[in-house]
Amino acid sequence: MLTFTVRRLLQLPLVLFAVSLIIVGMMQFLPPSARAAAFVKSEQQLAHIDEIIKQYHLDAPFYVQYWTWVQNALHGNFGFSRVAKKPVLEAFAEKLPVSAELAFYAFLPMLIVSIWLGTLAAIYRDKLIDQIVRVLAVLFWSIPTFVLGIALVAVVYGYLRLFGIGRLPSDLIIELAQASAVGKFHYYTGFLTLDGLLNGRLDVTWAALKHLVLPALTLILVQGAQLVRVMRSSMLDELGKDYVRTARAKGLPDRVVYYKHARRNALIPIITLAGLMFAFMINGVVITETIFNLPGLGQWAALAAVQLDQPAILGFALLTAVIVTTANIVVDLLYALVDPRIRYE
Amino acid sequence: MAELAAMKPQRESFWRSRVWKRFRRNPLALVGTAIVIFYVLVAIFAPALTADRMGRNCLRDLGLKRTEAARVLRNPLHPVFWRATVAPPKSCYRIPRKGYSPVPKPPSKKYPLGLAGGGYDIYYGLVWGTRTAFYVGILVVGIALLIGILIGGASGYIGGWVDNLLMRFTDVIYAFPGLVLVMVVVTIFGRSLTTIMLAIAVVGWPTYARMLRGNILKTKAQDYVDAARALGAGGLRIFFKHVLPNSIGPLIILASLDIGSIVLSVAALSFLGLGPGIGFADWGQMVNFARGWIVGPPGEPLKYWYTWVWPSLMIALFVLGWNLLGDAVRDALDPRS
Amino acid sequence: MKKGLLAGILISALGLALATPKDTFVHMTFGEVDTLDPAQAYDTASNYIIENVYETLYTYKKDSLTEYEPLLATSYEIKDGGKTYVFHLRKGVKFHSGNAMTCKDAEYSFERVLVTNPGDSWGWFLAESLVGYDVNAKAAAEEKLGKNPDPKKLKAFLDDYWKKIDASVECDGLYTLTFHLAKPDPTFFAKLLYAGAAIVDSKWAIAHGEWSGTKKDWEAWIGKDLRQGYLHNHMSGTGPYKLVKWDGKDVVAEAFDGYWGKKPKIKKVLVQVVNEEPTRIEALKRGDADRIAVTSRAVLESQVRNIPGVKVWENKNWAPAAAGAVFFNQAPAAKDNPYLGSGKLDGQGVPPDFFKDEHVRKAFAYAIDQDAIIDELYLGKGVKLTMALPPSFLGYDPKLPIYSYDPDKMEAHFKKAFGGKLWNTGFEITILYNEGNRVRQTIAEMFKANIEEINPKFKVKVQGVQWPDFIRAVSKRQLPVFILGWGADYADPDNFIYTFYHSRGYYGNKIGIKDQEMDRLIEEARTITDAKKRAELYHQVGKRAYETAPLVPYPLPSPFIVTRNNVTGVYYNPMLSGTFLWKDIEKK
Repeated sequence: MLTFTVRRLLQLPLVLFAVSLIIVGMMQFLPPSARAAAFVKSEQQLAHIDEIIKQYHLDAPFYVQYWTWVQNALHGNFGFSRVAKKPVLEAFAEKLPVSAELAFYAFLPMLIVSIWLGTLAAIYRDKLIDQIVRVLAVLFWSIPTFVLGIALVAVVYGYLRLFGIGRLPSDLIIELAQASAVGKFHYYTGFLTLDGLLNGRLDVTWAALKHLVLPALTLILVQGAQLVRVMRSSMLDELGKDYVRTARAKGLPDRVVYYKHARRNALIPIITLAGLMFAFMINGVVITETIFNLPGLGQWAALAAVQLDQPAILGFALLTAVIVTTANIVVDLLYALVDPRIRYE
Repeated sequence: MAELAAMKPQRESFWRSRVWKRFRRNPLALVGTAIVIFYVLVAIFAPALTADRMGRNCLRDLGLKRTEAARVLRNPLHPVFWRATVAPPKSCYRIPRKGYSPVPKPPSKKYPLGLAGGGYDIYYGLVWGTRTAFYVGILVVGIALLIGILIGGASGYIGGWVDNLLMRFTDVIYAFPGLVLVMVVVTIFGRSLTTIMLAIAVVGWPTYARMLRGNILKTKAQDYVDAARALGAGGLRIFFKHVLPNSIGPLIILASLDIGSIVLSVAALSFLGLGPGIGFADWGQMVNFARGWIVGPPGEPLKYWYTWVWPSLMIALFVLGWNLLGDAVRDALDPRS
Repeated sequence: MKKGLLAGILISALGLALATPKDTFVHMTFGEVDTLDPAQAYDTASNYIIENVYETLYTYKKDSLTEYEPLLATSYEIKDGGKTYVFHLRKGVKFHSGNAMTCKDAEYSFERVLVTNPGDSWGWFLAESLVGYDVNAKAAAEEKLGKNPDPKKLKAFLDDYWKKIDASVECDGLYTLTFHLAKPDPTFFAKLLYAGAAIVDSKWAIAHGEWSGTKKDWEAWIGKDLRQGYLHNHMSGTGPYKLVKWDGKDVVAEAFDGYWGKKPKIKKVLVQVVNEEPTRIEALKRGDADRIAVTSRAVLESQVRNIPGVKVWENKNWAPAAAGAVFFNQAPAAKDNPYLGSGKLDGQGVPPDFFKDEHVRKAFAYAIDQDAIIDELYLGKGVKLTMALPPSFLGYDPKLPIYSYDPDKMEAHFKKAFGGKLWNTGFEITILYNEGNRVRQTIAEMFKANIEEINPKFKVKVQGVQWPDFIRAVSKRQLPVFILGWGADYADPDNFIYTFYHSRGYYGNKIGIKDQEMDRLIEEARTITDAKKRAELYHQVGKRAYETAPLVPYPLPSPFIVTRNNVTGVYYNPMLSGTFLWKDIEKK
């Protein structure tokens, strides 16, 4: 087990190398004038594109660009993100907590509700509750996310005047900006709900929570729908197994059989999917972040991709590679722990 | 001899098999099938359904005059009917515009589903968008499946260092932030539908590869494979006759579910400004036309409902249909229910 | 008592907030600030902040583009036939850091712009007046001496460049600032009103690691990307507001207690970037925003206009300080050009000299339906342009004719083109627009519809491309016809006329204009100072532009501002990035 983990971890640098090479390689398909896209925002700047190309060495050959980047990266300098207007690492440190906070508050409720509904649908297979759950699940998953998001903004925030958009209401934004400028408020973690507590500002925590409700709800509905279906399917597989029939024949009450035994086994494939989903959510969910105005990783990555902000794309891709690979390793380990039939050489 | 011939087990006819019976009895299965068939018909008869509202360039490329379009395109005996149905020119995928006003117009007699912002005919866009949906869905899933089967199959069958190498390669692709990679590829290589499809396929095959490899490993360990080997069957024969058919089932089901979800990915790309060009008949594009119009003026918040309800419904039903179908097939094949 | 408490808890729990307080101004917009360094910023979002936090020598009188009022300077004189400008600085002005403003700060600020002048900044138009080069020292050296110059020659060149910088801005005592121009430039005063031509706190900047202000370390700062420096996200100016925080997205500012002028009524400002328009509109409805950006007239009329509590400011005399046009490229690149089709007059493409034929240009000019653009795109509220110059600028002639949609004239000109051959061979041409710009896309499609109707052999392909592809195609001169615009850098007609119509202007060059008479008129206008004479020259430029039709301006939308109805004091100055200054408004 240990050797397995170590071996997988050692493969991480290889993965990172491959990822970065592929991205820089792809950018070479663009001529320097196109690569200047991230630097040219207006027609006025377009007029001076030749100077821009020279200034940022956009016409240097592939290996020079890559080697420069690698050298800098090894010293902890991942370059400057034109989209974020600050160094890549700094941008990360700022945006990661935003996405992670949303992921955290969306993930747990989603997990609980999906597992519950999926199990229910499996146990009462083909009955009304099953049909309803399945159709609702597909419906919520197939509604384009931004339609759901904007509908929530309009109905709940606009019409019912509940909750809020962005991370905090504007008066708190101004107040915290002034306070942090004079050292009266510290962003210890970047998680507003946590920082509020750590600074003794419960009103900040409360406001942050209120502003998380709508985006978290959007994620729960859309991602949860997918999880419900997988849970149902996995639970059905379990319920069809021999040991379930045996246990019931032996007289064990249904509740014990279903919830204590079958569901636990059914959770195994859920671990994989949930783990990947969490990693995916931390990476930032572009559409939700855009609509609810959360300055997270998703928005940044999307803008960087469209504007070809190379340092940002590279940094983001590498971080994702690290997160996903780690998540994969953790999932595989959990898998092995839970299912004694699986062994790794 | 005659007894032996008589004793040869008969292949059970599909229509009398248990699988079909189980499928037939499941109401949701029938609903799913009906939905998918509906979309197939809409896609096939797109030219006929939109003959009276085609754009000028589409008519020009088909060589038709506007007055004869409706007559010709609804007449299966006419060669142009077949040309339009089987291989329509690219210009037919451009949604015709009535005027250029950015304000959507409600459903009217001529435009039964209304006009989206920019004067785009919603009915036309949805009908031809069905073709795009199938085209994209089947091609993307097809390519991803092909790559996935090749790599997953080789990995599972050959094993050893080949398996290791291929799986590490799969890890790298898996580790890529999918959406970002697709966006970068599309930004660099252009926004044509082909590029988008290839990009999504390239990002999506690892799931199939891993699943196939996992199933192959499980099947290889099964008893009947050992039995076949004991009876003298060769390695390759065992693979293609026993291992592969038994491992591929879940893949096909997953693929059928994915056909629906690819549409959602393309819609997400349109949201980010990277879909096929504005004005192309694609459901995702159409939902995006509605982006600024989901909320109307104060007092009539649902004034422009038709801009987002119709496309969203179209997408949702499509995904629902494939899902119900896929679920039902899986339930029917499941010997334990 | 208890009921009230309960209600209060409930209200707060559900997030039912009151509208923003009276001394706070919240503006939700969609452009992100690029940098807060006045020497580097060249975009609207950045200058919007800079113009409220830093101050220039003179400024516009509220919304007038022709009347100015003293700001950090109290008076000025022009000497030596326009080669010397002497400004007398205001006394008793303090920076946000507490330092006092003197001529040393002014000299430092302007020299800093000349020293750094990064490729993507605005420094070029200050440098071209003061130093005679529009690029920074290193770029100029490369132009003059090549890529690998002799080190001695390079040093000599740089020393000479430094001498020019040093000599162009000088102080005489604490409050007299003198500019020595490279040659007389009647546009110089207008240039000084640009937001970036502001006075920065030199002591504070130097103390935080910026350029020392002397020759000692200047070479390290030539062409430097100032986004890595201290001034990128820290500000110390003389303006009525000081920066509290910029986190890369939102900007928080508060009123400066030590401001030398009238204390503003608004004490706290939050500029929030909210990219999704429906979200902005909802916030405006709820009073969480006092001003929002609305991107189109269509959305304004159909969703925003009748919201209770909201005011739409507009006036038919308002016009943006911008111009957009359809350009006819008379000399597109002939080789490796995917947009020329076959490159021949055979109906499958266009030859490179397609637009050299005046009949072709005029035929295309008559294909633009200006009225339809205004009616359909701008819902009737648009501004037609007679020439590529904003109507509120000196020299604009509203009496010139405008090309309008006329299928008969189109046909007549097409039939005369290429000696009559074009009508029979036909052509196929590609019009490009940058993806996401609906206005330009619509104009392109209108072209397509109108031209293709005339003759079935005329084929127009409309293609939307991503910004990177678009700028590549434009800079490589590949596009036979394209749609672009220009926003004013400074309130002088030369900024537009030279750019659009002169053979060496950015656009003029790109489309191969080689009109000697036009060049002569433009060059004369940029050397004389008499406003009336200049206006007359520009009228002639406009007339000639109509007659030769190298490009055709398209109509622009009438501007509007959207705020809550308790905001007063709003005005529209198209040269201000925020259209009005925070210090001039208040909330009732």
